[in-house]
Amino acid sequence: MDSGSCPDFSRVNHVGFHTYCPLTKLTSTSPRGRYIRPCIPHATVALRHTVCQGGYLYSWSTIKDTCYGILHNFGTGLFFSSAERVWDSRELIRRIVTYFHIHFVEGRSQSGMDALRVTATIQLKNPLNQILAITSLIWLILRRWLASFVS
Amino acid sequence: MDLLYRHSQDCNGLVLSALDLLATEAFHPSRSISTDVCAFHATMGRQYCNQNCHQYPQRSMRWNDCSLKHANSRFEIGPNGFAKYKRVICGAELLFLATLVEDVSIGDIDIFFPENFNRDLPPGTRWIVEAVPIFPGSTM
Repeated sequence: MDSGSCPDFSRVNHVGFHTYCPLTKLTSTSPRGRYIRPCIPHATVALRHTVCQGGYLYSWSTIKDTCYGILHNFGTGLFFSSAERVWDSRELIRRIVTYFHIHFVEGRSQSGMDALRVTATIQLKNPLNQILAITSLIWLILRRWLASFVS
Repeated sequence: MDLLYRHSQDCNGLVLSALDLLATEAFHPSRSISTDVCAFHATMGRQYCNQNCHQYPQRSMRWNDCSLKHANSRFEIGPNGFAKYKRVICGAELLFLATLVEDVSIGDIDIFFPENFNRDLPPGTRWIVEAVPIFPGSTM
């Protein structure tokens, strides 16, 4: 939440729920935006008549949770997702993989500063997880690509 | 929209919520966090990328919500592993976020099976729920 109108969280958390848990576990923060991580169940209640704008995104810093989310969507048959958006998901993941292939394997940046900004979000603290996540993504895309020939 | 307006003016009106309204000019996230937007524009015309798709899919990836007072939604996660962001333009919303307890991983295959999770409220043994208010101009 923007720092300009930060509410008093301590009062809210007494409303019949568990005690305070750090907000950073639930959402990803960056100096320029905040978003709900993938795979975090969330619900809303409108306190007043409300108009919201929003959207979905894939962020490299939470790509591991994105992989888990795709797996859970597959396992549970989309019972608890408000919209499917399968085509957009596959197209965007395919392009993210291509993007990193261009950047890291071919060794050239397609869009200067943008590539630098995105690669800066890679969490170097746990590189093994990131490598496993991107390997799984490539495997999923290859499987889907091969399946299109079979069908 | 007319229906929402009429019921919002009536004290005994229904509690309605209009979700996933078309929003081609919606608020955009920072490009430093949305890898998908950067990747989409950087891979135009590349192999394995859909050559018929020249524009970022705004229609399905951006949306508006209009809710009357006391409207609520059940627990859900973003479809297909999407992260989600939301900015309140006017009004106020209370957002409930659920996270797993320490010894359970989000990667466990059974955490969203019906015996471990329901959409009304996640069972308390595995999930911790936190309420966060969002006010106009704030993003979550």
